[in-house]
Amino acid sequence: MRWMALVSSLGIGCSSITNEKRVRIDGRIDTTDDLPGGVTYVSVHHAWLGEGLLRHPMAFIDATTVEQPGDLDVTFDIPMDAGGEGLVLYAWHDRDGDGVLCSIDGDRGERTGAVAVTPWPTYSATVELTLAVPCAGPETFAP
Amino acid sequence: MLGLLAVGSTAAALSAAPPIHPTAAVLTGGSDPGVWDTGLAAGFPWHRVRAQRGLRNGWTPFVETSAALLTRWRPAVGVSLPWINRVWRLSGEATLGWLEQGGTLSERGPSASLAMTMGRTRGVVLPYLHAGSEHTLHIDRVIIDTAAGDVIEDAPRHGWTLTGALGLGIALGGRWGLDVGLDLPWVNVPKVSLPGVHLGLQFGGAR
Repeated sequence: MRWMALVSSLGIGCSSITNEKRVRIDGRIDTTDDLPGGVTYVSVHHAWLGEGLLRHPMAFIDATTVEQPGDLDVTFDIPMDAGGEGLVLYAWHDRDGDGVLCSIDGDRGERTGAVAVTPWPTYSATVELTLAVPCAGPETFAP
Repeated sequence: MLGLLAVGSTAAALSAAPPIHPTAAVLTGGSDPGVWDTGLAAGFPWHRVRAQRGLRNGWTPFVETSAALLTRWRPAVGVSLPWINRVWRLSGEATLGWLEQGGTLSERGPSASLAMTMGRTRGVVLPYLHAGSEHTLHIDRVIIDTAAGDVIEDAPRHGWTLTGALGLGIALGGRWGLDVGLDLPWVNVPKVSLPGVHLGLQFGGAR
């Protein structure tokens, strides 16, 4: 593996070079319902990505989970080469624990919400997000 | 691999045969001892240049460069050895090279290949068949801009390309020849590759 590290260290030997920015987002996620427990799915999206006919909002980047609505402290690596504009944090509370937002046979009242991470780009940001909209996908919150 | 190649060295060294034509030498992987042979092939999308010189024990070291659409280049050094060396020849060859592909799908890295070639070595019409396996080490680098400075993460990736070709060589006199061939590579398995065609020119016999 030593020779591989040598080739790698030259830089010119890399097949691809991708630039990312690591952002730590802390703060709090609350929900308007009073049902306890359940996992909250948290994802980050480019507010807009692409050009012309391919331009679209809320382009998915990465996701994680937190135990339940409450304190938030997550870190994401955001691709910087694709030309994505803005950064939005989206979350939904999986009240019935089925891993699906508002599945047909599941809980149809699961709360969602999104908040823009500003300013962007940045290394850290603090957000306050209240999950108040039932069953809304990320695109619903396109800025 | 070298041990496998060596299996045929004794047989190759012992076989007393008339001089091999440069076209057969280039297309079937082996020149007579002390003889230089060269080949140039142009086509769509593949081009290839090769020069080789036979050694006394049957081994034939060579240098070659292949290019697809003049965008995907692979210069390499290698060695070939006939395992069966009669009117029809079966040869093995190994190469070490560097892959350099430009354009929007750029990639690069050290590569190695193993191949077998079968073809006719006597006569005017010299059919041949080539099959090989080429492996490239790609390194995908991610540079993460963090509050504490840049973090570099390198991930190795294996690239696999199957090489294949079949065609007909034509001996033109003692030192010149040409071939027409069908290129059947499978670049970066399992992605889809299109076949190609080429016209080749061989020259050699010089000591």
